[in-house]
Amino acid sequence: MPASIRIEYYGRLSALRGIDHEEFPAPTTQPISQVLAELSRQYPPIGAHLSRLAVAVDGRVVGPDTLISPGATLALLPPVSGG
Amino acid sequence: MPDLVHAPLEPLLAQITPGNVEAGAIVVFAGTVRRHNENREVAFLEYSAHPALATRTMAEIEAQILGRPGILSCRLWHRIGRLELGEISVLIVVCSAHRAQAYEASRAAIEAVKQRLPVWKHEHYTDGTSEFVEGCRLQSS
Repeated sequence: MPASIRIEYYGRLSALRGIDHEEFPAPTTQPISQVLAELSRQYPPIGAHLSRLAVAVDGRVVGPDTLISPGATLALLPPVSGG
Repeated sequence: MPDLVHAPLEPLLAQITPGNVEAGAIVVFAGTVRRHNENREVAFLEYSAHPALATRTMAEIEAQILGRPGILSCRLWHRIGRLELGEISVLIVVCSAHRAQAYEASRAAIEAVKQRLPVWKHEHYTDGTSEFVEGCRLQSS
């Protein structure tokens, strides 16, 4: 059983973090908000963007109360600017 | 051609046909790379995307536009990667029986792209600096 989730960074978050994905320790199922809080604690510059962030789990945009399990992929999506 | 592409979109312009004898109008919208943005001179753009989510969102937008009264077809494409000034970044082709329906649907489609498509624009300026363009916050469905 995996004990982590894959976090993917998009747009300015990728530039800010310096990578486009990483494995993040997450041994239990928990709300996404909890993962984001821990991520913010470890990487404060990412935390500064949380209020305007959307999240997707395994390719679906979901709310921060959604539960995420080890082995899942969490995409952090800053405000979009296509067109 | 897939909806999300690295290749130039310009060749598609020559291939646009109604493809339906019930059609009376085709509206083509092309968004292009502009030299100036908020008083800064742009050298080139880079677009990135969440490929799976963007592809699905584009299909959803096309289906929603197709569900509008009188719309016979709707296709949209978005470039990713590096784009030079003047290149087409987004192309929307809407076909309908009457022009008013196609104009309105085309506008709805580009607004949906702006608000919902997980694509990010990174502007590179002639002074050597760059910035990600601030956009619209995605909403969970």
